[in-house]
Amino acid sequence: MKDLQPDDRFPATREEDGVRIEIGFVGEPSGRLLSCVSTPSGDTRAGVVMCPPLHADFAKNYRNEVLLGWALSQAGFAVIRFHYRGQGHSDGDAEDITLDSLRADVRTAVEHLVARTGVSRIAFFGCRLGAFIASTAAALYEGAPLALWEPVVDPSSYLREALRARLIGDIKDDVAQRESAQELALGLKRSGHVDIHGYPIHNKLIESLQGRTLAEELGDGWRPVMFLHMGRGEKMRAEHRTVTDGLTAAGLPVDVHHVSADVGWWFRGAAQAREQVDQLAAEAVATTTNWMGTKYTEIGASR
Amino acid sequence: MIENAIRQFITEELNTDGSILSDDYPLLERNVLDSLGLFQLVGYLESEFGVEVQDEELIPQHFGTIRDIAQLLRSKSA
Repeated sequence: MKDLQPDDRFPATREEDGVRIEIGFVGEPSGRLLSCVSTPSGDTRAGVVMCPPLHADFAKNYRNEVLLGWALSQAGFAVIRFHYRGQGHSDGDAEDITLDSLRADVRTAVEHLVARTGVSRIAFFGCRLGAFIASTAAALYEGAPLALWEPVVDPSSYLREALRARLIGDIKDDVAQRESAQELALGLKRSGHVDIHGYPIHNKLIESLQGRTLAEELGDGWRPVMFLHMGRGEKMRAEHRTVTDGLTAAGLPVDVHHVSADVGWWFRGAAQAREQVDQLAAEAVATTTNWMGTKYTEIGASR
Repeated sequence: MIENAIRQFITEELNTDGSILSDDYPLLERNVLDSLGLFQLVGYLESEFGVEVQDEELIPQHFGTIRDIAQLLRSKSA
């Protein structure tokens, strides 16, 4: 791995507990991404590109991803976390986000991680819609390990879930002029977006995802996959089971893990106790870090 | 009994004092159910009772009290 030299482009750096963190803006001047690269102080096993989720999930899972990035770097990985264009601190507008723009942003993140750290082996992580995006990206990198948290396997069900969350929120808010799911879907097309608890979902993104599934995006190239699902019971949702069974039947080594937590992705509420949130983070981070470690057991080698 | 099952779920999973939860206690009005709790409750009803709560059934009248929720479930199995 390269020795990281100070770079004026990344004035925000920090070193602590054997991890160096470097924050800055990367990519084309016309559309820069906020990126956070964390590297171990010693040799690096590989690089991990963390693809965040979108909308309410982005905020909900943010801290978990900060902790995961840190843990991975402490375990010897160079990690890049970033914000897509149109989200967070990156340039661009949310209404312009499409599958193509998300893929391009992942490419930018990969290129920056490789250029900055010299890693030659890349793994991918993604949560929720970020898992869908990570899968489309990983498909371009032969054998790249892929760690998925609660992946969106069918974007049409993601939209339905979002609309349902809106309907449930409207119950609680006792909204006088409640719109039906059908009206919300029509409004999405008519006005170009629908508001889900303060997070607009834009029609451009939905249309770019239409008809796609995670399994198809991932393709049939061999790679190890970690599939972490979260829920009150250990039983996987049917849509997740279909994907893991399909990947296994195609010969991919799939490790399924469960974290007992009712995340309620579109919601923030008192019903989620602090200790439950912390436990979810600790379990998910440890499971993923351990799994990634088994894929790169030595410096410069992979299993 | 359906009402008791619902009451138990709200008590145990949504951290509520079950002693106040009569069948007619106003769950929404008294903030026993916030939106996350509602979401979790709907998930519980669907998995526990094998029903699908349709989008058009997600209205306050069906979730105002334990009696309302039970009535919704009974209507779906009728």
